[in-house]
Amino acid sequence: MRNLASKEQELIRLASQLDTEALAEIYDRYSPALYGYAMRLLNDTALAEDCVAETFARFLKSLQKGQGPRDHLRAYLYRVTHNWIVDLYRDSKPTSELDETLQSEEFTEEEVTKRISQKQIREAIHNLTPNQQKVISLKYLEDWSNEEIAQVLHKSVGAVKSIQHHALVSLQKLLMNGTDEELNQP
Amino acid sequence: MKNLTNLESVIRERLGQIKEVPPRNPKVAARARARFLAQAAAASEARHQRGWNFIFRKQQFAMNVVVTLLVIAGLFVGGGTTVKAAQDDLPNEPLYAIKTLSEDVSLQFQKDPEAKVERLMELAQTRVQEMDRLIASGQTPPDQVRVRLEQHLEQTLAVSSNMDDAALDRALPQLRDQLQQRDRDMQRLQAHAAQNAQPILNRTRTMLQTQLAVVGNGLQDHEMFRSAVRNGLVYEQTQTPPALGSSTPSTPPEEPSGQATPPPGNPGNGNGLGPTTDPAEPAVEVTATPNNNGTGTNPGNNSGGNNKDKDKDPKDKDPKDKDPKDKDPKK
Repeated sequence: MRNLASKEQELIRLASQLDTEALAEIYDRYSPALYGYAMRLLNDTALAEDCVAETFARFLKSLQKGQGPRDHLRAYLYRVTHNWIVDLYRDSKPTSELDETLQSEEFTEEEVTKRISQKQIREAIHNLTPNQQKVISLKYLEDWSNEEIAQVLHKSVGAVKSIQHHALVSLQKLLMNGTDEELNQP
Repeated sequence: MKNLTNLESVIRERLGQIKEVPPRNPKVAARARARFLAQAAAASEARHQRGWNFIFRKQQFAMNVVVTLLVIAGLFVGGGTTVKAAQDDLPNEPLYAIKTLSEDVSLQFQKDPEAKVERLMELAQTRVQEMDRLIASGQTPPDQVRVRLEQHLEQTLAVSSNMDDAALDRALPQLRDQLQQRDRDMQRLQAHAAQNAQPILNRTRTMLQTQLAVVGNGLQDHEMFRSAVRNGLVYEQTQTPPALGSSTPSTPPEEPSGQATPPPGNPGNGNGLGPTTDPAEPAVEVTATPNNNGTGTNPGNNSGGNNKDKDKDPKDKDPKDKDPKDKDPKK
């Protein structure tokens, strides 16, 4: 674990000098996971690719300005990725996810139900506050620990737990607008 | 508490529905990687150039005189000898860093595009000669040499792509000849290199052949050449290039993580040019344009007035995070 941390520190140091080999290694190490993260929240391959590209472009730009992360590189990159997705939803909420695909192709009833449910989940997540979104996405979609999430949020583990609690309650309410009866069960 | 645990398990189950994502298109991923690496190389070079600009432009006249005199004195006393001696060094030798630094400096002062292309091709030849000497002495060339060769050749293509048609007409045939010569060099090296040197030679040949295809297309259509260079080249190894006199094919090199390997049944067009010559995936390329040039669908391309958060370091406080529920309970 310590080796991983020191390796990451070394990568950050080299990246701050705009070392191209280090930057390539960082890209190879993190871009697949960031793409998966963006896909889970956006369900759009083109947007997910845009998101990854823009995350690394912002990272590079920060390095050029002498800024960028001093530690916790993975947390930094996920934070940039998530901020991009939040901005996307704020500026132009994608609405085409379901309607276009269902119109253009034929689906079984089961598939349609599944897609509607997935759309509801994504919309519910996007209706949370940005920090709640990060906690829910990182904890339940990426399986991060509270400690790791705390690094992304620059908050304490206790604060993360508190945000998680509020987020779960909010999600319940948001999903209740759909067809969920199961959430009411004791 | 029980309710909360139950709620968590229900939410977890619901979220599980969006956890699985389809695999990423490897060709699109490889192009995205190539674009990022091109951006990184450009940023690196720009910083390097700014450093020299700082030294040579920002200083006052008096300081320039002093520095110039010191450099000249250094050259007479021994600096010139050192740089000259360094030219024969290989990557594992002490003066190699001075050699590459002197090459970089010589490029910075080369402003004429055609002369710069010529200089870059000389440097490419130097890298191949280094590989040759290392292999002849029983060593495996480090990847550093291949990466630098790739940088020289990509910079050559980039400089050429900015030339006007007349200059490009002169440059492209020379480029083709040079690339063909380097490819023959590689083929010759493959024939007598040890097995552990084969992967790096294979990768180098793949790169050379991709670039040759781009230059070949450019001879027919300058715009196609410019567009291909602008979009970034992807070097996909679909098969091991044969070595001269080698009867058994070499093992293909392992692709680096994130580097594309074409999916089965979709071998691509073999020149790594991407969507303009690959009709198999037009929709993806049309919609996915993460090139940050302000023309794509990318909402965060730093070109719009709404993107006020785009350039800031995420360590900055997120103005949206003002939900009172998010407060740290300890505070």
